Amino acid sequence: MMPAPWRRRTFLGAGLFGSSIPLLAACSAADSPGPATSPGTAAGGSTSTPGFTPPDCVDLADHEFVRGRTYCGDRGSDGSGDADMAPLDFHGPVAAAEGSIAAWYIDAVTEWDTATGEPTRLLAPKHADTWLFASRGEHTVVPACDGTLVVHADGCRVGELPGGPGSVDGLCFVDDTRLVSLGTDDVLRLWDVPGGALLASAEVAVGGAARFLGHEPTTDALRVSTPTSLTTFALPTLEVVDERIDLPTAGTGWSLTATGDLVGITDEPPALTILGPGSGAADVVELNDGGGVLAVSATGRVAAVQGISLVVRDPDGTVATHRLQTSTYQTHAAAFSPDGRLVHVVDAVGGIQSVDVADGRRAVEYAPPRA
Amino acid sequence: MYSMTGVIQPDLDVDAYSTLAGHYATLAAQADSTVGSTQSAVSAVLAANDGEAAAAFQSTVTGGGSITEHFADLGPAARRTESAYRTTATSAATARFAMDMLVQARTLAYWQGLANGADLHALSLLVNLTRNDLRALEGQSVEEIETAFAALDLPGRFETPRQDTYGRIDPAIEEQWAGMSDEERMEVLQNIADAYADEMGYPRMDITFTPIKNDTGTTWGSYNDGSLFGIGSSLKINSDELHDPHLINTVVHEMQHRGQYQGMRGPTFPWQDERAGMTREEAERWSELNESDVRTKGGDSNWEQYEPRPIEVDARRAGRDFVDDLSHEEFQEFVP
Repeated sequence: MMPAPWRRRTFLGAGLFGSSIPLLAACSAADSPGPATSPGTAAGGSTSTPGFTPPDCVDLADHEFVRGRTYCGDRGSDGSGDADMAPLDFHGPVAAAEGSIAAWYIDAVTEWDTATGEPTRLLAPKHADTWLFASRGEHTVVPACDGTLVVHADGCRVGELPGGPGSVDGLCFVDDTRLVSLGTDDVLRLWDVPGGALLASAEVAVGGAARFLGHEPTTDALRVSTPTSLTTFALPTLEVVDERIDLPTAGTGWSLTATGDLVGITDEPPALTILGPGSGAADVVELNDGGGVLAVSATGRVAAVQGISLVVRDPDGTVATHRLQTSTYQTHAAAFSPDGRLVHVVDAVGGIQSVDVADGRRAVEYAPPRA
Repeated sequence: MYSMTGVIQPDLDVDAYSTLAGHYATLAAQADSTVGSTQSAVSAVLAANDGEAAAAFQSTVTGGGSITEHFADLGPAARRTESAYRTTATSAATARFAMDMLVQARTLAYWQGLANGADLHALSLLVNLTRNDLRALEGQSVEEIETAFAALDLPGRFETPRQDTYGRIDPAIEEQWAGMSDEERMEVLQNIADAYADEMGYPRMDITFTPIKNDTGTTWGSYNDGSLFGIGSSLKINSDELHDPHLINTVVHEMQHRGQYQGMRGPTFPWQDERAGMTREEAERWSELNESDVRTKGGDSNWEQYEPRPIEVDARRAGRDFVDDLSHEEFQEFVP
């Protein structure tokens, strides 16, 4: 433990408005590991097709998966020489539900059966050069190029939410029907998805290039974090209830646990860092490298996944480090299963696996949809 | 008579269709042979092993969704394609012969009729009859060819497992890599690059470690051969990916590109037989395989073009084989 060098700026009240069922649905932020936008030409390649219009419905049986397509304009990337490279076939976030998970496969949000590892259906097509999506219950929401939030049910477009001016930095379901979006216009919006209504909105003062939106179900706390700060908002009012600034730099941003701890993977030195809710005392678990991904369970268990290692910290402070049976180096997202026994890990190149938290063994390997 | 009827004389390279049929026959035989060899190898393993692991091995190698199953589908599909091309060659040749014979006969009749004072109406009827007969012959051939290709039922694309593409790195190397600093990793990669260049017989080069942005994928490294004679060439390794031991594969992949381009320049002097391990003939062949029309084959998107590009297939093979052959003990030779 060490004294806390970071500060709490404001505290406006507990702001805990009841509780919802534990949810582990994806909350995604535009700066989650890996590129938020996917424009232009890959190394050594030719120009991709700008302005592609996605279909209204996607179906596992006949969808043609196309890599590297551009949706919102032709913005190039490094493309010189002959390269060793691999496409981002699998991409987070990962939405975990009872018996299924959902993540991007090439250009469609895809659902897999966690018992068999087989893909079961496509939930929505890609509409913009971003990997954001949120999926829970019947609905899957993906942003369009103009910031509109396109709502899908069972693979088909069923409606849209106006979003706001500009694009979207984060999306997160807080229960089966309500969705929170964070716009680049610095406005948090709470939506009733089936009704298409805006329930509340609030300006946020959390700036910076990297912002992370998340929701902690036990305390029903909504958070917006940057690598060095975390602001907590109450639902449904979107009032600020807590703000921590000058935190150690965490490339993952900062997450909240059910017990009020702040967790992040800090960069210097590389570590899984846990900050207590009251004293701010820190628990630091050293890691080999910076980066990696973080998952927080509904019970406050935390997992850091990186390279060959799975680090698991329980709410009582117990830490276990396991050698992963299948290493993961291009990791884009991780999420606990609802029972907390598995961590679903999305690797852009290696695919998706569910890892047993008890020993790091691969419990399920997910098959890509057949071409 | 062709011009009078408005029917275009068939201009078909029948031999080309026969050649294609031959290629597909070769593919079918190779696919069958691969299935046979794999099944023999699996049988040999199962003869000496038993239990769950052996059953899992058999299922993985020969079961549903396996590469063996894919080759088992590929052989018959190649044979059906061979048959379709043979049908095309035969039907096209038959149709062309029949149409040419018909035209010869009707042309003779036309001129004889004209010489014997036949009226224009009768001659016009002859032309119309010939047009209809030619179109019937052409249509019959087209129908035969379309029927032959309609029943191909080709297998889908088989996604090669990642480890068969990139190799299986020794877990002990992975663990050692995880415990190394970025500076140590960079030194290891430079040592591997130097050793590979020495072994393959082309000049060493310094690696540039720098972030490489790619919005649609992960780029571990790149090689740029520079301008004429390789001036300004560079080998870059993505410094944001130093945590990933796949870079051991990458550095060999990129050095293989260096070798390809060194070789493609061909032997410098008339008395030289080879350059960078390539004969003049091989250099010419690689140059052809790296022409832009070949580089852009494979599909419309950049990723579809990149993956089957011959120099990339060769570089991936080099990286994979190096990683597969590298033991933990051998790895120590590169560690500072």
